[in-house]
Amino acid sequence: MIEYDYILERNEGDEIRIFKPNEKIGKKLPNLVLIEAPNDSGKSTLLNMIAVGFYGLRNSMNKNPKKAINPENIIPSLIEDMRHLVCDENQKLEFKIAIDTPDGEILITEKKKDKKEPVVYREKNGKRFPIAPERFNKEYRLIYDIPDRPRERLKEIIDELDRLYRDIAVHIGDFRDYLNNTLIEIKKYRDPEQIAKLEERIKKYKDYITKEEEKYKGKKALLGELEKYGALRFFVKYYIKYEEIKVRINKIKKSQKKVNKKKKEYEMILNNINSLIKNILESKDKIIKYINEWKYPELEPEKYKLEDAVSRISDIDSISDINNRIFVEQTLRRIERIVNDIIDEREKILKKEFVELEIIKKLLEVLREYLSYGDIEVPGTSKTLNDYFEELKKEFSAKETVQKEYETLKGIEKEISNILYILNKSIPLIISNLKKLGIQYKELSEVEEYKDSTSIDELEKTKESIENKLEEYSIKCKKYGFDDIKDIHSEIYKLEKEDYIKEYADLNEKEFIREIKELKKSIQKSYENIIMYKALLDSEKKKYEKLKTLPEHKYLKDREKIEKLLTVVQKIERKFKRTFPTYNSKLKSLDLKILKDDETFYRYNDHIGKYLGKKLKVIKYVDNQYEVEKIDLLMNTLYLKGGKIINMKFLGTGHTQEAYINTILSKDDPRKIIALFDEISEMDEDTLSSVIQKIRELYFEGKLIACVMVQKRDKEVVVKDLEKEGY
Amino acid sequence: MNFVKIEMSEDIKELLNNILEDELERKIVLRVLSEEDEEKILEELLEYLRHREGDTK
Repeated sequence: MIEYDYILERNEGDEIRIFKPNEKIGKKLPNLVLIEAPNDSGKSTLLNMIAVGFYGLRNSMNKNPKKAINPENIIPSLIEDMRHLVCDENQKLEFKIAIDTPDGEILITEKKKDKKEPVVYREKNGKRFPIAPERFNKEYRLIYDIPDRPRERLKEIIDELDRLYRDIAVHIGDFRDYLNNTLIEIKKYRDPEQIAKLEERIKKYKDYITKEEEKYKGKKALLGELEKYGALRFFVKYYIKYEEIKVRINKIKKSQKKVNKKKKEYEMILNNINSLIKNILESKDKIIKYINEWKYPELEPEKYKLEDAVSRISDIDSISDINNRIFVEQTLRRIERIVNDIIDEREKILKKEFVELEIIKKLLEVLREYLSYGDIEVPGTSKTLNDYFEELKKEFSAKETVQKEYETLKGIEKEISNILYILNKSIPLIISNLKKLGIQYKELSEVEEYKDSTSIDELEKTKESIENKLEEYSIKCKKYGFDDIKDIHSEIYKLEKEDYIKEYADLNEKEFIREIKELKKSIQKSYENIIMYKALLDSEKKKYEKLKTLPEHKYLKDREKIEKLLTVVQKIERKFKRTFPTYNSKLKSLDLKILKDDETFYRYNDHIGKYLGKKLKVIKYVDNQYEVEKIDLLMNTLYLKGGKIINMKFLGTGHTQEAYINTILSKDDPRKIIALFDEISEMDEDTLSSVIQKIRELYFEGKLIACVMVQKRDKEVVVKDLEKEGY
Repeated sequence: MNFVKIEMSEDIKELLNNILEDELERKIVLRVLSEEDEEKILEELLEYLRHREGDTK
């Protein structure tokens, strides 16, 4: 029995209307019932309420397909009706529905006015146990449907297969995990394959170590030889450089000394020349002074010429020029001739006077000694000594002016001789000496400049750095037992014959040092590799030893078979997860573009067709019943036993509805069914009776606990108890 | 597991037989769906493979 009651309060704006169960339908219904009633008699409200009560909204596929477990594919319009019933703000619904099940339990659902969700209970022996939606869904299958568009919806039966495939995929997935875990576990036990791999790796690492050690030793030996070669070769290089720079410095120093000596000599000569020039100038000044004193008319013009001539020999350059000297000489020679003429003339006239002056001079000298006896008369003169002395003095003074002039002329002559001597003897001698020195004044300047640009200090610094390098390489050479340059040369010659040295022989020091660095790096790398491989070898050895002590897994010998099984299982999983659901979806949508050439798909369609045929079992066509052999969804064709082939379009709507409902009810599902069918009006009496027959079968088999079917009937309300024969 | 035990009707068995490629695939699916102990299923499948290999040798 289905016992129910409800209050539906609807706010219609101007009033609150209360709806209660239709009295003609009643509050108690048989478990299998067909309600025929006019529109607005509450039959659909009853179906919606039962569906909501048994978690139709919570578990429908349309509501929340991810959360829903084994969801029923309730059509959207019914979902909307259910939602409207419980969620509309202007409606408040309270209900209670209780279904007596054939196994003595009562399935109760209650919804309070202020709650949106119903609560389902199972009552047995007076005790109530709540059933959560998930739990409910595991035990009960709510079918709520309007069998409209039955032909198309036959395809929806395939949804049932999708769910089946999903379940199979889950089972297969679990088994795949089990196989994977078993294989992992086998590996954790004694694994001969792993042992063989480890043995191979151990051998490989040993080989690596041997090769790397060989490389390491080879490179080390080469480094030793190269370092020795480098020490010797660069010792020689710096030795030569050192010698060169030493010679160069000495040479420069010597050259500097020579230059300095020359310079000194030159300076001395220069001083001489300057002193001679000074001498010439003094003589010239005296000559001019004498000329000026006595104002000889013949000499007056010559003094200017002399001045001019002497001005041409004012320095070493001008005096070195013979033309200048000749010019001065000619001038002097002219003056000399004039002076000589004057002297000759004077000498003729004054020769006697000069003798007298000499005598007077001598007398005066004698008398001066006896002036203390001035009063004594000088014999033969009748004059005293003093008077006589004074008289002689006066005479001497008169004769002395003439002598002075003469002396001046002699003086000029002497100065001229002096200048001529300088010009003709001293200066040529000095010039000749300068030539002997082999250097000109300009050259001396150049030597000075050369000294400045190649700073001895710089060279000394370079020498010092070469010396340091030489010292450094010398220590190294000594380390290798070489301290004699000849031995070093001989060793280098020997080494350079070796092939491994040849490629380094042309490198300069920088390149050589770089190569040595690279070689050292490479040696370090080899060393690190050896350490790494040894560590890996140790680790693999430990694993190997450990693995050898492990027991064998019981499936060790079957590993290949398990791997093969795993491959097949994965393939099956792919089929049930992707391939078959894709085929199903294509069959429903008839979108066959991609699958046109896929023979497997067409074979699949054939198998599905046979399966659906078995589900349908029997259909009514015209006035006869036929066993269905196959439904070809692609061709929309039914293959019937006896060879009849009919297009599904030729089936009456009622017959198709029957086929559809029967198929839904025949689903392979262990859950107990609560079936609700709205608007089954397309079916005629015979067709409906066939459906009712199916429902009764399921009810009596215990597979169905309640079925409410409603259809429209004008004017009156009829409630048919379908449990009864002949209802 | 949150799925309902699959009732293996004859129709479904036949469908699965048809859509699966070979005996091993069928055997795997049917044994796995039986929900028996996985180790037992594995033993059976290994036995089947051993037997099959024995046949082919």
